[in-house]
Amino acid sequence: MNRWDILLKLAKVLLAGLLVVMLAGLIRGSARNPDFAVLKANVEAELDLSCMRQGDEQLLRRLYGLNGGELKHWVLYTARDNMDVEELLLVEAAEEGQVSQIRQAAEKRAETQKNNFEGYGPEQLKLIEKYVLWESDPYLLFVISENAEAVKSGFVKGLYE
Amino acid sequence: MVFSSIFFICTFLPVTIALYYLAPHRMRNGILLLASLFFYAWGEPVYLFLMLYSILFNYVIGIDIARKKAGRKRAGISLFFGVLINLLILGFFKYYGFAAENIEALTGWQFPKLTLPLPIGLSFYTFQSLSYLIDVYRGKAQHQRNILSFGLYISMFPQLVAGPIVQYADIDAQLKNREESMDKFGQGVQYFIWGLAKKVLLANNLGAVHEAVTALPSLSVLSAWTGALAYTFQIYYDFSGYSDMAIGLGKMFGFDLKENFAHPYCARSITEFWRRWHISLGSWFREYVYIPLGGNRTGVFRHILNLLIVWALTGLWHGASWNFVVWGLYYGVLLILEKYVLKQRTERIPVLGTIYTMLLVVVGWVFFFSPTLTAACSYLGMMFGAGAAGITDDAGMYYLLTSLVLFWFSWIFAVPAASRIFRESMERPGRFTPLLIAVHMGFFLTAIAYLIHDTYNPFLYFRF
Repeated sequence: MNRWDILLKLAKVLLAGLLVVMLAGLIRGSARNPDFAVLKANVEAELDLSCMRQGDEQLLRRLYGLNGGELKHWVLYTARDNMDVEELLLVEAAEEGQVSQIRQAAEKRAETQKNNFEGYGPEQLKLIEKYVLWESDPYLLFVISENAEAVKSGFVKGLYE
Repeated sequence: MVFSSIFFICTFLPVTIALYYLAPHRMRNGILLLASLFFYAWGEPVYLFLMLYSILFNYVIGIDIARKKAGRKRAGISLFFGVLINLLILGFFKYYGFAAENIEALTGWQFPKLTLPLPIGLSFYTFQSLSYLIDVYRGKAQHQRNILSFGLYISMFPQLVAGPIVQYADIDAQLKNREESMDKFGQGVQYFIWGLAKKVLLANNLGAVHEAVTALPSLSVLSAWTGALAYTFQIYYDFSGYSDMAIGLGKMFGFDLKENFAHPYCARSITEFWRRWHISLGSWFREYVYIPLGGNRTGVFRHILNLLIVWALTGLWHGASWNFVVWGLYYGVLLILEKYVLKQRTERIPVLGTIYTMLLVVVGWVFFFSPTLTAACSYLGMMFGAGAAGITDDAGMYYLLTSLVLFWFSWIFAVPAASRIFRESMERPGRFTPLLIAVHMGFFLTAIAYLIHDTYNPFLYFRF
């Protein structure tokens, strides 16, 4: 191995190292929290909101047992018609560990809805059973809809937009 | 910085031309390199470091490959390392979000959420870097010893941000020795004016029609087609306008860059369309992906697979979204059908062949301009009546009628006759030459007038 080969090898190692440092710096410098407004817009775009109404803090407490004031951001939609089961809950947790508490609440809500429609609403039951519960700390999405998978895609897309 | 801006036309370009021609020959590549780096840094100074890194890295790897050529395996390892790092950079900046999003959706694994604006021109100069390394490895070109000349190849401002993608073997000789002349400079000015007029007078106005239509709360079949047709012409004049300006600027500095478009909307088949549209990208994929995969010298199944791979990658090159992958595969499937089922029959029927091609191309652009795959399917549905607000509506009629003149001019300049008349008349001076000069001046001054009053209108291909 002559002098040139050693120099080239050294240059390659240095350049590879420089790239790692550059990318690591960029990752650190570009870290961000996803924007709740973007997530909300993305999930809303995949739902037919004309058949749904936005829920308030009282409804959130009644259906999920959650206190809206303790969450950082949240939005709840429920079906306008009592015989429909479409529902959406999108939450940004305010503190560590809160997401698992919200997940339990959403699972409980799905269970309650299953019990409510079991026996007399086979179509609704089918929809409830296909519910999507997706967690990406500090965010959580719970959705019951024909379009649940598209709503989830919109949500995950919003995380990296 | 964009070519179609007052600062570029009235300040940057005249100063660069003056410095270039006042400098002795041996310093001209250096002047052009400095001007190119300034041009690049104007918009995003941060990513200038990435550009400088790319120049230095590929320069070193090029030398390494050339020195190891005797032992081909060692040169191959060096090439692999070079290709890997180039693709890593491209992948990180362009596809990180897309990959993270899809992996999280599939597996639930979470990745850091990053804000990474795409460095302008990254896809173009990465492909040029790969072309250099592969050409040196294959022995098609000598490695470049002069880092200024190599830096110029990677960063040359005329084609830096949106191509044409120049293969190293095609420009190697011109980097060392090229001829500048008044004739070539004049041709360059002519190309530049064509490109500017295409972008400012046609593409920007067509873009306004497309934007207005897609912003409507509901679309009829007519308005959906009007919007799609406006985009079809917009993207052609936007991109071919940029390419003309790039070729023109190249000529002003003595370079001969290959044509990137050859009247694609006159094609009589999709196969022919892709021989005429973004020629430099098609050539790149053919040379460095399709042929190494075996091209068409394989069995039918393998050939079909090769085509699908190349077209999925072509789609993905355009953007990190499933829309683009579907758009690429759409063309892959059409090309396979033409190759194995239609067998170029459409090319034998001139008018019908062109209509068939245009219809499929317009449909293809819907995947391109729609923000998501769902939106594309919904738009396509409306073009064919599903979910549309009737066959026609007032808005559709309004936009069609007010854009008829624009569409008519768009069609006239898309066919070869108009540009042939211009080109031949300028090449052979005669009694119409003063008139043609006046026409060019008219185009130029009108475009400048538009630019003074216009808002910022970057080229569509900047985001790729």
